Amino acid sequence: MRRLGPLLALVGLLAAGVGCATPERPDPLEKVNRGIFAFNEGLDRYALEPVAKGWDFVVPGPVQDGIENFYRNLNMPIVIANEVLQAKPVRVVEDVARFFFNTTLGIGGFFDVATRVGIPDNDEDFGQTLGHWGVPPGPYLVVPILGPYTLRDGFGEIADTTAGAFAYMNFFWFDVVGLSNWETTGTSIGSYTFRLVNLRAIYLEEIASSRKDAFDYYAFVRNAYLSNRQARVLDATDTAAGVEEDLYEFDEEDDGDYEDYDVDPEDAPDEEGTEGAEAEDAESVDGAESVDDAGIRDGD
Amino acid sequence: MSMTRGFEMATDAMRSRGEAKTPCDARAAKGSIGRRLRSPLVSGWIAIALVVSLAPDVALAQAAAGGAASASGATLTEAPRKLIDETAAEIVAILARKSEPAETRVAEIESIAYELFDFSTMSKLVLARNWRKLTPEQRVTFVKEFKRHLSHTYGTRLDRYDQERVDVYAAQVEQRNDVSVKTRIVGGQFDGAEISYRLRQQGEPWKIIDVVIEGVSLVSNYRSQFQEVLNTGTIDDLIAKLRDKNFKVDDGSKETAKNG
Repeated sequence: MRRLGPLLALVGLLAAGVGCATPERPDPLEKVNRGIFAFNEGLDRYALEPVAKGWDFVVPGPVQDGIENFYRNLNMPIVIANEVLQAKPVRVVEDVARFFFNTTLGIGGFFDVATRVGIPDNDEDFGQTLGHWGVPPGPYLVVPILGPYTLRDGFGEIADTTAGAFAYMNFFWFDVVGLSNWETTGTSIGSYTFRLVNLRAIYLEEIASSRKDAFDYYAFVRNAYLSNRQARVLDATDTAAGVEEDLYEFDEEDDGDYEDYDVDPEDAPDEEGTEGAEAEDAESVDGAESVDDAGIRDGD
Repeated sequence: MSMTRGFEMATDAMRSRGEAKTPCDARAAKGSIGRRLRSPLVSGWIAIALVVSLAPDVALAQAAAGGAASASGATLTEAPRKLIDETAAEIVAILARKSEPAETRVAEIESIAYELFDFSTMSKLVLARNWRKLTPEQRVTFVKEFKRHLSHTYGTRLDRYDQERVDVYAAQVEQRNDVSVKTRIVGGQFDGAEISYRLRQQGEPWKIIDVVIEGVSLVSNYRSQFQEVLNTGTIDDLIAKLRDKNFKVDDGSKETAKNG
């Protein structure tokens, strides 16, 4: 029964959310999500962040980076498998080479030698594989403790984690040491927590300033997560591919209005009084076109 | 917009003007040049020669076509790419002067940001439909406060990074004749991070209208946050929030200045 719990929860979410999640409305479960988000934030503030601060105080930055490198390298077989599934042969070659160099010369992945010799750092997971073959992201979900996902990418994460656990724990390591299933599960949760604390320590400053500068931190995280995931699916993190459609459209679809309303506010406060002639010009233009304004407003 | 398509459109525009100043232009205008290209090297040189010879004409052609025809990719992206390249070098130089207090460096980066970004356009894009609802006074205030907010976050965040170089590796023409300049951070904690700048030319100089970090657009991100604020409050609430944040920032920097 315990195993069925999360599954039932997922099915419930699917029924509740997937039908009404659209690109225009990616977060149909916002109310629930915000609740869980607040819970996660509290957890971070009172548990994860303080622990990470302690870790950061004791452990030098390069060591933190090394630990994260180690975990990333450990995950490379999963990355490569997903590149195979996405039929990206060049990336497969790159990442087999990356895995080889970093595991050997990089001493088990602690040092990222591959990047230094110019092998690109690709990032693939099963969520991206599904996206690559046309599966839509589905509704945005904030998962307790684990944080932001979409239905697709949460499912992908489960698949990747299961595959990783299967590959490493059953085949090589834990069988040899002779750990039971529970001990194996405990070890992997411990390992996950350790990685999380270390990663949190790396991003202490970034997360603190993002929180401080945000107008709505929930929306900040949601937008960043969804755009970044979309860009990764398209292998286009160097563009606004995820949001391109309407982002720069505004001026065109409201062309007439837009021009009328352009009072160039940026210069106005500084240069009052110094541009009498121009100001008159501007006024006469406004006067002539205010009729159009009114018309458009009525139209709305 | 691909380079070749931009190029074709530019030559089309030239053809419609019925002018050909050089033999190269004449050939291009007849559209027969493609058949003569055998070796890639030769075609490369011809392409460069064409771009150089067309450069002054392109601006004219664009003006003549009322901006409908897009210019050749390479010539259009040259200026914005240079701008990002030079500015990046300038900022890295400021960051390298570590003996100076952080406030001075942040202030210097802020003043660069003032010239670099088109805050007016960014405000319109960020507020999207809500922009129409603003009174002229609210617009002036909003742009002013948003400008201060962005400049400051830009300045303080940059000041935290110091060992990195910025590699400007590509530029491409986008819709509306915008140009994206793509950069990558080399070295430091964010080695390999992709930052793309979207620029638009409305007056004389090119100005940044969006910054896209690892696929996350600044304009889109602020838009979604401001939308949430506006869902529960008015535009005046939003402006008050902006003002409040800026006030805290000013206050904070004054205090650190006293202490330092």
